[in-house]
Order: sequence, then structure tokens, then C-alpha cells
Amino acid sequence: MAFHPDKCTVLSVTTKRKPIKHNYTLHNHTLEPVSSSKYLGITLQSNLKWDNHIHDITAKANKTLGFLKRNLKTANQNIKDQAYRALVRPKLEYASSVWDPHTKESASKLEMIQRRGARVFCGTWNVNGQHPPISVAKWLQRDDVPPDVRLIRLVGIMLIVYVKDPIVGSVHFVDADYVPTGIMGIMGNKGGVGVRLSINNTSILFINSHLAAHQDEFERRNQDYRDIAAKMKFRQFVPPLTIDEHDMVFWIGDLNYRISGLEIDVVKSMIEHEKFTDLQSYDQLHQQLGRSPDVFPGYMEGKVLFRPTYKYNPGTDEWDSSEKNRIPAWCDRILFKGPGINLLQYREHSELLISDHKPVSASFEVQVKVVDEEKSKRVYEDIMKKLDRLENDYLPQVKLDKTEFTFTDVRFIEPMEHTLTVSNTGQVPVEFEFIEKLDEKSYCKPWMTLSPFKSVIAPGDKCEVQLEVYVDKSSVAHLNSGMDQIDDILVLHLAGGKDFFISFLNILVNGNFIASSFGCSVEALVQMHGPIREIPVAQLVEIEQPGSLLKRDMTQGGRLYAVPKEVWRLVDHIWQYGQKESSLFQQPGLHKEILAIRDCLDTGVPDRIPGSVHSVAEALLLFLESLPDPVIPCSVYHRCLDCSNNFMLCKQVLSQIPECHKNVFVYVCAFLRELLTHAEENNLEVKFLASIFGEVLLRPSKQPSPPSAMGSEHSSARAMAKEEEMKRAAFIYHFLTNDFYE
Amino acid sequence: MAKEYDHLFKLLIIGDSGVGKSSLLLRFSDNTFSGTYITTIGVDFKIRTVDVNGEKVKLQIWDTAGQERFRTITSTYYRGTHGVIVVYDVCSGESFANVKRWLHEIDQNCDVVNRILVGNKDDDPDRKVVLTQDAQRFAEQMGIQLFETSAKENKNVEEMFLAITKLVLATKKEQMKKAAEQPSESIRLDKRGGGGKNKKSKCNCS
Repeated sequence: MAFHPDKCTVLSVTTKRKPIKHNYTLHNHTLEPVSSSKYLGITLQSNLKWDNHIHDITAKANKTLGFLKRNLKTANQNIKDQAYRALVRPKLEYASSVWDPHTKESASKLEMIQRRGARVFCGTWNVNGQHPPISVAKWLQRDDVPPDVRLIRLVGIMLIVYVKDPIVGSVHFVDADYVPTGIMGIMGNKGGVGVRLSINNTSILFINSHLAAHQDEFERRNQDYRDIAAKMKFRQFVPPLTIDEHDMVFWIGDLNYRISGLEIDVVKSMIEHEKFTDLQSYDQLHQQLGRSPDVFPGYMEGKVLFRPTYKYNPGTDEWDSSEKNRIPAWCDRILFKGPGINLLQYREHSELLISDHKPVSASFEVQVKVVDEEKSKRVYEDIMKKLDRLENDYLPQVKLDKTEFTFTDVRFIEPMEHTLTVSNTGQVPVEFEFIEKLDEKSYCKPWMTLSPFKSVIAPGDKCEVQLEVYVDKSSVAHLNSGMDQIDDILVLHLAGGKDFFISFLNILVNGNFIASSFGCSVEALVQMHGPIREIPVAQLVEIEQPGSLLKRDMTQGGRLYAVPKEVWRLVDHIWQYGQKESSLFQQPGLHKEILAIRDCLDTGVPDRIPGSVHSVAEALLLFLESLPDPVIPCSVYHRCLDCSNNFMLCKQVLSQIPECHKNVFVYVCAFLRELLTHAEENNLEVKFLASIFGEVLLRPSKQPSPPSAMGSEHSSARAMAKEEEMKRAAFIYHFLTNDFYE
Repeated sequence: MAKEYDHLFKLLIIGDSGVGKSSLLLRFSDNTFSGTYITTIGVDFKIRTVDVNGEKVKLQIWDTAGQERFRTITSTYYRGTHGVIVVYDVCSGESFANVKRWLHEIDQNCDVVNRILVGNKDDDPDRKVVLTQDAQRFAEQMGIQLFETSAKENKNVEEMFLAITKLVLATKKEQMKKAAEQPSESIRLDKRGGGGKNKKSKCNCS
């Protein structure tokens, strides 16, 4: 493709103050370096600003707008609107995504066009209580272009706002209020009334006020202004809107400011010679406006180039000829405040004679902000999206290093640990907590502990949660029998945010728990001929089923142990090696040795139980405690307590429990009695044994006692627990002092 | 100051693992799409406010884990849901076949709830196996509106979320109208008469 060198220029974009100059050539032509150039209808500048472009397009758009104004003067609103959209708007919006105005100046320049607009006419006339016998058209219909908003004020401080029909649809939120400042500050002979409205998105307020009279009372007039300014509120809005919260304010009325410091003749003569500018410097309002911070601050007024409007002999153009002989004054004024107000006309209407005042009127062109519905919707949606994104960004966020954990080869009373790292990756502090799922009572299974299970993490920080699996005597039975498995899903909840699911995976069918004879039922144990590890899982599950013992008797008549071989081995070991040992069942065993004893019982090797006799004694207690149903079954627990003072009754209860349970009980008691025969060497006391074995042989069924915070209830519960403990010991005591078969 | 929103609704997205539930949410809330697949392990939500006929509706949209093993846990999150979006993958017949199960899940856990059926990943005609007419027929049978979307190509996502929002809003207005028509006395009796134990209200559609 060939380029025409004349149509090519060089535009270098740099922030350097001394850019490197290089002559670029094309077809032996040196290209002209420029600071701005037009490309695809966009004016590019070397400083990457867009003022030239914005200047160009606003000028262009204004030209077109002027053309439309001239040629579509009489067309209706709809056609004007269409023409504007078709001819002006595209000029402004062309490729706006490229140069999107980002400086305030540029943006407002563009917005100006979208503001063009309304005409406001204000008229004020103190009619001195007269009804007009004449047409007021000369006052109100002075301009060729009829105004869109019209305001009249008549007797008794009245304010009427007219809105031209075509723009009625754009007028909203019309509200009115009044502030009396007359006698006692409550009478309405003096004061102000206000009408506010919104045209499209511009709020406009009209106030008509009649301020305090008399030549020298300008301070009273100032005070009246301040009262009105402070008290006028438009209560349609919450909170009520004040005067200053309006985009535009037109303040009109008989403000009553006079000309002071000149003799009446001088004043009259200056008026005759139309020296209005000179005369205005003696006007009380003019002297204060823009100078005094609390007299109409921010308000402006057009040049008063007309005769004072007060005081005339009613019905004439002659100055007041009464006794009071008042100095003429510009009592009736029109002030305005706000951006985008362009005063076109400010005048009096001397041909209307009925009052001692002449009417005054002013025409304005005001720029009303017109919001492009489509655009505003887009902007609004953008803002909503941004707010939503902000809210989403401020939701708590964490990262977990793992969400799946596997615990392999979990064994009875052998703790296993994993660490879960929770890192706060969000922007806000995170409060996390493991929560219960569905209708479960706890956030995790009983064989697991989490520490901490709740905490707060600062942004950027992390928290390490220790997950410990520990199968103890209370949870082992369900795992042995297959009713529970080493699998669970924890729910980690972020306060006010998301939830994570943390899984403990279940690899094997029966979980990954290595079954132990600890936690098997007496019924199952007496059916187990070999060590538990040699028994297939399915069979374990089967013999743990309720009633399996009865079924077995019926169908196979298989051989049953009288007592579980594990109990026998433990008892036999203590009997052989520890009957003369002191502190039996008192001195704790070693954890490591107890694990070895567990493995010995579960695998059958070695032949001799390892560890010290104290470890074996503790293992025996643990073994009995881990039985899912204790030696004395839960079902008869309360009966045992009730008859604990009567040996015969105790024996009767025992005759009703399953045979295998009874055998274990009798066997253990016989063993303990045997130990007691060596009391001289081992120092065992019957009461001590009764109390210890009362705890392991007799247990109530597991039902969580309701925790009570009440002190008295707490102490009575403790007293009851103590009593039960004594009854358990008493029950055992009978069997340690008497032979069961006697 | 204008109120932050006129209505607040909870929506739930369910469906098989990997059908694009999280992608749909991400597209709707952040207008982004990531091609890499990250399984949702848990439940997450995002906020998005939409304008429905001049009313500001704030949506809290919950994205759930689709994996089978979480099924029982995720059912907890149906409580208080106003609308459920059931998603399948138009390229996976299995995910479409499972829609029935998901709908059943809704029936089990919600009383009054609006539902919408969404066939996602509708951006590759060669891979599409669930035909529009089959899905449409099924949707009509179940009385649900069907949308075929693509979170990847941002196709129909906005429309689908707006549709369920409108459904939920209409249901709310209907309920408000009914409540207004009923004498207040009888409402009180209804609420207290059962002693609060007759039926667990799982979905609150206030």
C-alpha cells in the first residue's frame, strides 16, 4: 500500500521536555512534525490530551445546534428532540470510548450542550392591595419567545408558578413553604413564600418575600432575609431541603431596600437624567450585595437601569406627593443565584398605574440539566456493578492448603495428627468456625478433635488447625462394629461468607480403622476363636450384630468361650506375675506398653503379654471400660443400684443378665477375691477395689446429662453422682466379700 | 438517601459436578470467565444487584458443590432459598439425565420456590448431545423455563438470571397480595395454631 507523503505527518507522543527530533521521510519527502493531527475523525495531540478534540466537537455541535435553533423554532418538541439526537449528539459521542473525557473541564464542556434550555420569566409587583382592573399582559407578555416557567406575585405575598404545557412532563417534586416575619415574627404581612420544583434534573426555587418597610430599617430587612433563609424548608424531602440545596434560586419581591444618603431632590434629579448607575451606589441592597456575608450571600442581580419603582401616586406616573414625601426607591427586585443562569432582561413596567409600586420583571435563559435516560441507566448500572463488586471483594476469603485428608491405619488409643492451614487471602479479617452439618450435634465425629475449632485471622495472616484423630474407649466400639467409619466431612464456615467442605476420605470398605479387641462386645469376643486381626471384617461385622450369639447357638452350635480369651489372658497374666505386687490398679501403666499389650491381644503374638504388670492391670481396666455394653449391662444398671444394699437381690439381678456377661463378672470378682487373699503383700483393700471396679463393670447407658449452669442444680447433680458412685461400689463390695455360688 | 435495595433474594445454583455452575456465577457477578476447572469444595456466594422495572433487586447467589459425596450437606443450603437454578451440561447426557434427581432434591427441601432449567456450555454445536427440543419438551413437562447458556461466550447468562429474578419477584408480589387480602386475624391464627411444630417451613419466601 502506498501512502501519499503530503497526507502524512509525524506526531510524537512523549512527556520529555526536550524530545529527540528526528526527520522521518517517506518517498524522499520529509514528513511534517505536528503537535496535533486528525485521525479517523479524532484529533490526536502529542500530549495525549483531548482538549483540542473536545474543543473541535463542541464547536461543531454548537454550530449544528444553532442551525437547529434557527430553523426549527416553530417545530414541536418531538421533532426538536429527534433532530438533536440525530444531528448533534452523534457529533459529541463519536468514538467517545477513545477520548472519554476524564478531566472535569472537558466533561462539563460537553455537558453544557446537554443542558441548553429553559427560559424563566420572573415578575414582581407590589399592587398595594388593588385588584387589577386592567390587563396585565403588558407586564407578563413582554418577550417574543414565551418563557417556559412563569412566576407571578400579587397581593399578600402570593406566588404563582406557571409551567408551559410541553415541559409539564419534566417537572417533578413541586413543593411549597412559607416563613412569616411580620408582627411578632408570626404575622403574614411580611415574610416569604417559596415554590420549588425540579425540571429534569435541575432543582429550581422561587421565593417571593416582602421584607420590613421604612427608610432606615435596612437591618430589619436583612434580618427578615436571614429568618426566611434559615426557616424555609421543603418537607416533602427527607431530610427537608433547604434553600441553599437548590441548583437555582430566584428571589423576588418587595424587598423594600431604599436609597439613602441623598436628598430627595438630588435623587429625583438623578432619575430625570437617568443616572441610574450612580444612583445605585446609594441603594441599600446594592451597597450590601456581594459585600456583606449575611445579606443575600451568593445572590446576583442584573444592572438596575430603570426608574425606581416606588413610590408613585396610584394611578399616575408621578412621585409620591403625600405628606410623607418619600424618597423614590428600588423596592421591587429580582435576585438570582446558581450556575447556568443567563439574565436576558431586567426592567420595570411604568405603564401599569394602579399601585404605588410599578411592576418589575426579568427574563432568564437557564441551563437545565437534562439526563439522557439511556445513558443514565448505563451509568447507574455501572455504579451498581461497582458497588456489588466492592461488596464481593470485601467478602471474607481464605485459602486452605488441603481439603482432603486421609488417615491410614488408625488404631485404638493411638493419636494421629494432620495440620490444616487456613490463610486469609481476602481484604477483611476472617472469623472462621467449624459448624455442625445437617442435624448433627457436633461439628465432627467423636474420634476427632480440632484445635482451634474457631478463630479470627487478620488479612494476610494464617491459622494452623490441628486435626487429631484419637479413637478412645468411647468411640472404639462403633468403629469395630462397622457402625462408624474413619470418614467425615467437616464444614468450615466463614462468618458472613462461604463454607468449605473438608473431607476425610474413606479408602477401605470398613474405613481405615484397624479393628481391636478393645471395644468389641462380650458377645462378639466369646465367638472369636483366633486373634481379632485374623478374623475377616465381614465376620466381625456379623458377630457384632445384636442377637448374633443366639443365632449362632441355634444354627451351628459353635464352641463359645466362657469368658473372652483377652480377659482371661490379662487376668491370668496379673495372677501369675502380679498377685503380690503392691499398688495394683493404682500405679498407671506406660502408654507405649499398653499399645504393645493391645497388639499382643489383637494379633496373638507374642505368647507372653509384654510390659509391666501395672500396664497389664491398666489394660484390663481399659478393656472392660471399652466394652460397648458393660459387664453389668446398662439395661440393669439402675436395678443394681437400687438393690446395692442387699446381696441376695444383687445376685438375683445377675441371674437375669446374659450368660457371657455373668461369666465375666463372676470371673473378674473371683480374681479380685483371690488378689485380696494376698492383701498382706499387695496391700489391696476391698473398698478400693470395689470402688475402682464399680466404675468399670457398672456403667449407665450413655446419655449426655443436660449441662446446667445453675449453681444449686449443679451441686445437687454432683451429690447424686456421688451417691451413685457409692452404690456402684457397694454392689461390687458384696461380690468381693462373698462367693457368688455360696 | 435511597434505600440500598427494594428486594433481597437468595438464589441457589445446583447441578452435577463440572456443568459450569461456578462459571455461570462468575460470569454474572464479575463478567469474567476462566477456562481452568476448579472444583467447588463447599458453597460460595456472590452479590449482584439488578434493576427490574425500576426496582432494585439484590441477589445473593449461592454456588454449591456438585459432587455426589456432598449431596446431603448441600441440601442444608436450600433453606431460605427463593429461586433455584438447575444446571446441566448440553455436552453431557448424564448431567441432563440427573436433572430429575436435582428437581427431586428441590421438592424434598423446599416448599415454595421458583425453578429454572439451564443447559450450559452451549457454545460448540459439534459437542452438543442434549438437543434443544428434547430439553424443551422435558422443561415443558416439568413446567419450568429452559435457558441454553454459555458462560464462556457470555450467551444468555444475563437473560437467564434476570428471568429467575423476575419469577421470584412475581411470586413475592403474589404472596404479598394474598397476604393483604386475607384478614390479619386469620393469619395470626395460622401462625400460632400449629404451635410451630406442624410443619417445618424450610423455604421462607418473605
